Amino acid sequence: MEEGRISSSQLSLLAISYLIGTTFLLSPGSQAKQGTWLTILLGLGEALIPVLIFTTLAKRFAGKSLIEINDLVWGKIVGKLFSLVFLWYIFHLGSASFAIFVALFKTTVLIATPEVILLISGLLSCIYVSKKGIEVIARTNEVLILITVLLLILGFLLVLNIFNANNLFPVIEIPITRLLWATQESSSLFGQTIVFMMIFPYLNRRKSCTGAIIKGLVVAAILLMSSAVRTTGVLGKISESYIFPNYETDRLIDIGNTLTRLEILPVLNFLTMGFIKSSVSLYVTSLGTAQLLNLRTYRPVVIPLGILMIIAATQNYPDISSHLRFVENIHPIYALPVQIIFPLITLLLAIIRRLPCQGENQ
Amino acid sequence: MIFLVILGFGLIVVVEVPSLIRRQYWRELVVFSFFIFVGLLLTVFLTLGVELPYIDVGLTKLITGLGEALGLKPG
Repeated sequence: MEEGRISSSQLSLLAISYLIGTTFLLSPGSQAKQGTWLTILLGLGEALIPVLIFTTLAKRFAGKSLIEINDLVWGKIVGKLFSLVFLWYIFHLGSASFAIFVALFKTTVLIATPEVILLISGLLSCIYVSKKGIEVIARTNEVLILITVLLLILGFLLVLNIFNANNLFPVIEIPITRLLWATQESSSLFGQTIVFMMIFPYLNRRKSCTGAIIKGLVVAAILLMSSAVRTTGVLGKISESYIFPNYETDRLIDIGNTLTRLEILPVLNFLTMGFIKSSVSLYVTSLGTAQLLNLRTYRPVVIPLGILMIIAATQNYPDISSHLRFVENIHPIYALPVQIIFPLITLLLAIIRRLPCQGENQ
Repeated sequence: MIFLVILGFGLIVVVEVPSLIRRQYWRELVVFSFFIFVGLLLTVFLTLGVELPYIDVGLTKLITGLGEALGLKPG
């Protein structure tokens, strides 16, 4: 079904792009105000639990994707139900990524362009790479992430003259329960790496999946933390009232009245990383659907699922602020079954049933 | 506008279907046709201005409803 192979470092880079794709713009845990960076750090620690659960499961069934593991452990009917919930979750992540892409472009740089044109042009490139396979996505990402990290570092250096370290204090200003909830929010965003359960079988060294994902998580957390510190240091307490705080921060860049209005930097970053996030989501949804329905190839379903994804993107939320509330209040619970509960009970059942049997595993 | 939508979907069918028939991928053809049909139907609805439900709103209702059923207080 998929002939491509990727290395563990390519997987780490994909994980970084997937995580910072949309979260770079909609800073996770921003309800913690100055403590946003702290919630990202705590969220990283908490996210290690689901990551260890699903990578243990992947190593136990080396060479099998989550869809195949569900079928093996739970049988055809229950397994397919679990897989369906997983595929819906990834499909929804992809559509949300498209929706945020449109929201950003419609409110910032391409105000007069119709929504449908933005969606179709974004979708065409995602369909192209998804049809080419995981190897092409991973190699494209190697170039794009390099540019993104360089732009992020440049963005950090350019705001040093307007950066006020006092804005970062007091670190914890909110009640501890809200801090814990914000941590849970960050953790559920890091837990989105469950998408790679479908890609682990195409790793050239399958045992290295845990290390690769953790490396990706740590680097993504560092990038997100530095971005949170930057926006809080520059914008202060009002940073949480902006929908795209990173965009507002780059607007304020002013180096000697010459280098100003560099807000295109975060837009470029989102364009590249959002593209990777949408492409991986579309690829995994298509591959998963093909495995779920026992198809010989996933390629014919890429275009129809891509179209459904952009239709879902238009119907994702009535306005961007309601999506922010969804990410803050509902996503941590919504993601719980897919990220922790299903993988955990699947792993426990596999241990009890002593699966995989000899010869079933490659 | 409806004409453009049907033209677009027709183009996709013309590009994808012949290779599926040539390789005798019947199962794949059925799945492709199903998803394309659903996609076409939804796009026509949206073009005609039919209001479809929002995903986030539906999920929020589902999860808060489940929480209340389990006796958990929202917020």
